[in-house]
Amino acid sequence: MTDIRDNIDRANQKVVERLCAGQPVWIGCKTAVDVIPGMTRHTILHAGPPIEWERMCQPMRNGILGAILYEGLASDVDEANSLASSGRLTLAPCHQYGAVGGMTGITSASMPVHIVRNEAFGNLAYCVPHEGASPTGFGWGTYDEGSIRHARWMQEELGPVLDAGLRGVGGINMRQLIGRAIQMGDEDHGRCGAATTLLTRELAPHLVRLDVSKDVLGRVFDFLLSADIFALHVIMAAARSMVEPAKKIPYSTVVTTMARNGVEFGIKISSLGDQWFTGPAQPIKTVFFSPEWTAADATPDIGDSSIVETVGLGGLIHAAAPAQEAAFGGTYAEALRKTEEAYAFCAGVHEAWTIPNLDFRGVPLGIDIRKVLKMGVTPILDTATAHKDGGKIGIGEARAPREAFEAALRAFANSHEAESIDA
Amino acid sequence: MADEAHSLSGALLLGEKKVVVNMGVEVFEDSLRRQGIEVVVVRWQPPRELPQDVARLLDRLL
Repeated sequence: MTDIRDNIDRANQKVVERLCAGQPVWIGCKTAVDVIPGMTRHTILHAGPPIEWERMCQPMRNGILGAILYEGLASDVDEANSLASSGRLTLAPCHQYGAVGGMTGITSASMPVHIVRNEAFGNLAYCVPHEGASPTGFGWGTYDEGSIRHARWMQEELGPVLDAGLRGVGGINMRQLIGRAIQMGDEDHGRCGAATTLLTRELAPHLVRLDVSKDVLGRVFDFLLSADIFALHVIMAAARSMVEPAKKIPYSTVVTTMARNGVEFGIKISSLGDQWFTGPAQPIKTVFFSPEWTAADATPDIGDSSIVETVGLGGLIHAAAPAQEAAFGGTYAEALRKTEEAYAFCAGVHEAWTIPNLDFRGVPLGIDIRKVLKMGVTPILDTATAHKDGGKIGIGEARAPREAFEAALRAFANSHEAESIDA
Repeated sequence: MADEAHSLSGALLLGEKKVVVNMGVEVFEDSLRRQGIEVVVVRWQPPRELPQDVARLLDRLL
């Protein structure tokens, strides 16, 4: 009789192969309601596992209020509050719609979304563009006039210009681009300067040939060049497109989703499809932008950006980006130790994404919940920190809560009860 | 014999190159290195206590 461990190991290798085989290509940036299946004028998507309005953290509520006002679904904040709590809107996780969103993850009908197609499997994924260098915006949990004005600019100028530029390029292969960015010192979560530079370089010749005014182009280039982090949301959509074909492999204990809503942290594992397993969102070890802020001001870990750790980037590969570790006050030795941990709890490596200073070893890929629990070390997630009332106040890193992994393991065991694994 | 042993350990402490093995808590490592002492680091932490049912499942699944 086959030992269940053999079945699990084989299944986990299959998941790693599927993740590795992904060929995400950034093909467009279009209006959410036109491209996301199931999206309506009354749908607002948020980050992390499902959560009701009453339990949401304040930044997520603020982002929803902002989206309601931006969409013209209410005329003032009081009316927006009533609508949000009325049950008349569909408030759902981005993940449920094949999407991901940074921080609060707020995605509504009129917003532009990056579209990434996984050419190896044919599936699509979506993510709203990063809001740029400003510490405010729906993603950061603010809904002031400036946040709404910026969202309109992204809808009216940024999205259409990027989309037209991408048509000119014919799509940008994100598998190749991420691989190159790692070679250039990105871990592709907190540090995306190389990826943003490479994306801008690919787009630039096509953008300048578009039939749009110099003023519009100038604003788009100012925006792209103002925020090293711009590429992150394209990378997130790429990662989201990679994990979908890796789901539902029987017996696999590999994580296919990690996401946080500021209250709970949720994971999915391949064999159990789209079931969420949650634990409490963790505090973030933060480098604050100003001494006026302390841990008491911070929202716990939030956002879907941990999809990049799910495919072996970000907090799993600090060794590839010593400058990222230094930004947190750490040393290269610490970066190396963290990456060694990740290798120990992963089922394989990504053959095309390699770390130069580890002799071009592939990045760790395929987080195995069994190994995470056995080691007692959960994945590190690079992240930004939102103020508890909204607004970006720092950058940092958090650990995933072990409770989510324990819940997933118990559910896995229950689903294989017939095999007497608990004998 | 006791005197010999004592002088031997004294020579080792004062006269020869020292290598320190640091297990676990890392804070000692930095201060020793700053004093020019070679340190061999052993990353160690007490095994995390798992809920009993999880530990039992891991024994069967990993």
